[in-house]
Amino acid sequence: MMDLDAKIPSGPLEDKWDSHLEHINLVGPRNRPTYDVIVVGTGLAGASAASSLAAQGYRVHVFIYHDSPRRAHSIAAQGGINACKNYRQDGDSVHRLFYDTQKGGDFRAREANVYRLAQTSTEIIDQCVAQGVPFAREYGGMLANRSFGGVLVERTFYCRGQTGQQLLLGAYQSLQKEVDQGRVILYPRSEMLDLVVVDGRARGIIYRDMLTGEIQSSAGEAVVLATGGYGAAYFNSTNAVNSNSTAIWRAHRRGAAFANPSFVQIHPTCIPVSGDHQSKLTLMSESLRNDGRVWVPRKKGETRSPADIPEKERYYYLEERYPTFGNLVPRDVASRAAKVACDDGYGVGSTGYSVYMDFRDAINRQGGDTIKSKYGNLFDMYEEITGESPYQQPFKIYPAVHYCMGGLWVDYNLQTTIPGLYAIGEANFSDHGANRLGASSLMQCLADGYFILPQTIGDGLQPLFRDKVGTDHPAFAQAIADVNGRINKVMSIQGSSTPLSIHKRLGKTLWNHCGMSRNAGNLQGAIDHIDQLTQEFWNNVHVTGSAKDMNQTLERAMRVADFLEVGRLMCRDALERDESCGCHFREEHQTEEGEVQRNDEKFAHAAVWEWRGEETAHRRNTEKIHFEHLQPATRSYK
Amino acid sequence: MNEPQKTLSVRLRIWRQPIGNSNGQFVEYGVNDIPVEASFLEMLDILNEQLVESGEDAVAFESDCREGICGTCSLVIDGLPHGEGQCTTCQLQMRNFKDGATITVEPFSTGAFKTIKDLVVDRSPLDRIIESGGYVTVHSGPKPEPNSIPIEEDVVEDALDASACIGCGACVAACPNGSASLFTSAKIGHLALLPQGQTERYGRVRKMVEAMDNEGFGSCRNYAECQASCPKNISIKYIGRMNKDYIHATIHGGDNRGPVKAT
Amino acid sequence: MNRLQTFYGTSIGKKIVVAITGVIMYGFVIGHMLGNLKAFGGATALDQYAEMLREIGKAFLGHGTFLWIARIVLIAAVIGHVTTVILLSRINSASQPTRTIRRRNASTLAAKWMAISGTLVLLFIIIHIAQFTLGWITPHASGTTGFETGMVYSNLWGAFNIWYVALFYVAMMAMVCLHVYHGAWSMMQTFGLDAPDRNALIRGSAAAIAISLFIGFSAVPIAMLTNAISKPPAMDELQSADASAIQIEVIR
Repeated sequence: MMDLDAKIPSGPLEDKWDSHLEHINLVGPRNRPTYDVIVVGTGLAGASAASSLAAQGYRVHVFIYHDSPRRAHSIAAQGGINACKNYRQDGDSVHRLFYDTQKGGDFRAREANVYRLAQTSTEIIDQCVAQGVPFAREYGGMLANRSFGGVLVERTFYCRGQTGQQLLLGAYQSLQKEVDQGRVILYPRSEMLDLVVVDGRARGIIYRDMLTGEIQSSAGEAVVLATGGYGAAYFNSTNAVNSNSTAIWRAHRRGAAFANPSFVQIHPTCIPVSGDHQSKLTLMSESLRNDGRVWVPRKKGETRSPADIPEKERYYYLEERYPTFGNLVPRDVASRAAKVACDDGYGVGSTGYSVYMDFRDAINRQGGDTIKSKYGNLFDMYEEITGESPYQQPFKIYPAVHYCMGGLWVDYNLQTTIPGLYAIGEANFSDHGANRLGASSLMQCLADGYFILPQTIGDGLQPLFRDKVGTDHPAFAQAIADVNGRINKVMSIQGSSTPLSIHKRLGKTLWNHCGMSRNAGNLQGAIDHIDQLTQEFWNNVHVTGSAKDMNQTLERAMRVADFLEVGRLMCRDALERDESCGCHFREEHQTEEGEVQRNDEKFAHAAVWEWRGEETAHRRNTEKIHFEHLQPATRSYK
Repeated sequence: MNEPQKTLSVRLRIWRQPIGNSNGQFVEYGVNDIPVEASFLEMLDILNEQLVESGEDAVAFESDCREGICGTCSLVIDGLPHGEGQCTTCQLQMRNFKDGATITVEPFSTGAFKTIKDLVVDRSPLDRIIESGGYVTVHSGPKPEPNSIPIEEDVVEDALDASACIGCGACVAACPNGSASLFTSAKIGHLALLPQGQTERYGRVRKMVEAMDNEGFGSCRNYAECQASCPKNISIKYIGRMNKDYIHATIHGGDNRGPVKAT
Repeated sequence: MNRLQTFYGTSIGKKIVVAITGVIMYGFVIGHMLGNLKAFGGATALDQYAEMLREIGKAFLGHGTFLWIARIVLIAAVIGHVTTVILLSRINSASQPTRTIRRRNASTLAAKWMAISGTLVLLFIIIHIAQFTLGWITPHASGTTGFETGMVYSNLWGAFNIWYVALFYVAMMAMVCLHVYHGAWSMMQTFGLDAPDRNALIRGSAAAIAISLFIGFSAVPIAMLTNAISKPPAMDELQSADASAIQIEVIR
């Protein structure tokens, strides 16, 4: 069994973070420049952490597979960022945000972490405004708010439909400032392919120079993974086409435990799949559900156009089933409801797998101009892609894979089970339990990057003052040889399946069997199918070009190889978690009304998976969740 | 309900240039049976699948988010950066192309953006412009309450118009002079509008303009091609404001940190 | 000095030099055009105006000095304008797109023709000065007086009565018109005086001034070519005076 000590400080919930900071080790300002910290990824978490650490004086090496740090996929977050400022005096507080996040996550997250997140949230807004992030303001010049799913207060701060972009630019600019100061060294177009562990400590990474194909290494006293989630395993998702799980998976194989891999959020409002060619599903911000009403026709196989369907024949299923929250139920609930409606034959669109999200009433009530000013860019985006104008007819939407609550297991310091290896942002599992609320991922990334990691990392670094390992250590040469071996193997197969075709088939299997609704039989079937695909990959994949060149086919192949392993673990985790909770809906465990039925007695824990080598199966460890401050209740949004 | 899918075919003239080689050439490819719902980049995905299946090296091109916000995609289509209309390459849809059309695809290459391979160019000069001063110098940590400095709504909206820039470099590729004035001025304009950006305002414009020139970008000649190609509709008014701030910075001294200088 | 060097070293600094020298020439061109219109007041009016230019600031500077100062400023402006533009275009030719097909979305004709119109205008200025100021090239229609310094009206008349000279002037004025239209609009941008809410006005004014310049400048050659305004007074006496002038020459 693994030692899963989360190192939660004792004391009252409200004081844990402060008292923790009072008691941990620190590295003095004069010594910080002697430490090398490696940060992989430059999304909100990575860029904010790297810039904060560099500003403290550490020497930071930042690795990205993009050409520029600003391309990271945090940029695509649309709706907003939560913070319990209580500007609206509508009853918001740290405790309320903590409660909402825990309830939203269906009581599967660690209380101390979530509470700390809520405490930090207000500071994030202060920090970002000071950087020049242009949050929306009211006419009086004060910050504006809107509301998001799963909550009864308005606490979401936003910049039109491009909040993630503006926050990322703030972090990116801070990062570039540190590059200018010489404290950050950027390694663009460099993809991490392995972690180097020496005597049980993370000591560096192996990366591929994506222009020359050279396999190189970099050493540091700490490695921070801010590489996002693994949702792209599903192939069709709202993730970017290059998003991948390689960094966290390789770290996992070197000893970092992987928690709750099956917790994957399916976002309810995305543009539906239109065909096999599709490379990407586009998300329509959850903020649309503030004014859009979701419905399907009451008649199965309806053929009339939506405008011709009278009010009485429209089934506003969210409003009817969940009168309190209505269209603003959490994402997992909204997604499942859409799936049920379509599975029952009420779906619309050419595939029958879409539902309507209608702004007719909002436009009548508030006027087209108001709606345009609120959501104009989203409406335009939809029209560009589908060729239909949402001002004239309702959006057609369907759920799509969006976010991974699961990820590398971390303790209160955000350190994984490998000392010296940290995981922040979506790459870790810590704060969202079994479902994430809208506008919380930006909050978590920035809390981790600006405020938490920069203060906790010193605890692990301080003892290493005169204990450095360079890239001349044999472990580095060994890891480089491993990576070269893997690449050569992939290049030498020269079979007949393209990496893309295998990825698409993996995605379909995961979506059908490990998506919005799961059962034991299907999950077992999916595992078997993934094993076949893995066989096919290693015997029959076809990669053209040269390994010593810019080779996007090879890049994809290496990522797909890891997705296959991640996908398998996701299915196993889903299979072994024999309850329903949040996004994880096991058909065997539902209430009479078709809602999620938790089993707190057996499954009030995080499933923490341990890699035990190629030949041995994964081992499932557990970290019990202690309900000290909130007693788990049935999650009701009715 | 499942109608037969409508498809189209196109001929592509694609710029292919091996890595580390400064010369390239056009290679023609035919792509058939493209679903009309496909995007332009998905059409290139189909082409690349065909190439890999037939044992050829796939065409290297960049894209990431495929929803028009990350700024990675960068193709010149029939002579226009990001093709016809004000969107990113990834937002181009095949339904807007004619069946049987011949489409020429080239990289965003200019004097400052060197081609790396095929359709991939090096846009790191843009990062270095930001690095030279496109930020507000604040460290992470407790900050003042943001509502203590009210900002007029229209000022924030104006700043947001500028900071909507996705750094794709279409402005540079569209400019007959390969100038990065729109990119540079958008960042300068964003920060110059906000109270938080005032302290470093004039030092910033000086440093960023010098960095822009040092990277080998051309000068603005007011063609306004940048504005017409910008997927985020950024106005050339920011170039005028940058010029004005630059004049101010020259007259009042470069690194003017506030009205009263320390002695 | 260092600050100025740095300033001129940047592209914006150079653009500002181009704009300032442009403003000087723009002002001159407008004044020149207005002065030319004196031709419609007859030969005496125009010649007196020309003499008046020499008289400006006479009390301080003496006869003709101001005119020389103005000429030096203008020559400096032309040199500054042209050299800076050449420096800029050398940078620009190194930085421009390297692709094979270049389509344009937004450029106006005036913007695209800046280099062409600028070069032609420069050549024109040289010819124009050689013709009317220095009297080196003095084509004149048969039956008109030859070139004579100070006899502005009759000099013009002699030249513009040749159709291709008049056509050359009108064509060159079209180039000036194009050049100053984009130039004036660009200048406002270079100084940062443009803004979306007044751009229509700025562009409109730039166009109006450019067209006025074209009409005002072309009016004189066309009017003279078509005999729409009166002949120079000397012309009436010319036939009779012709012989005596030669005689005087001989006697001397």
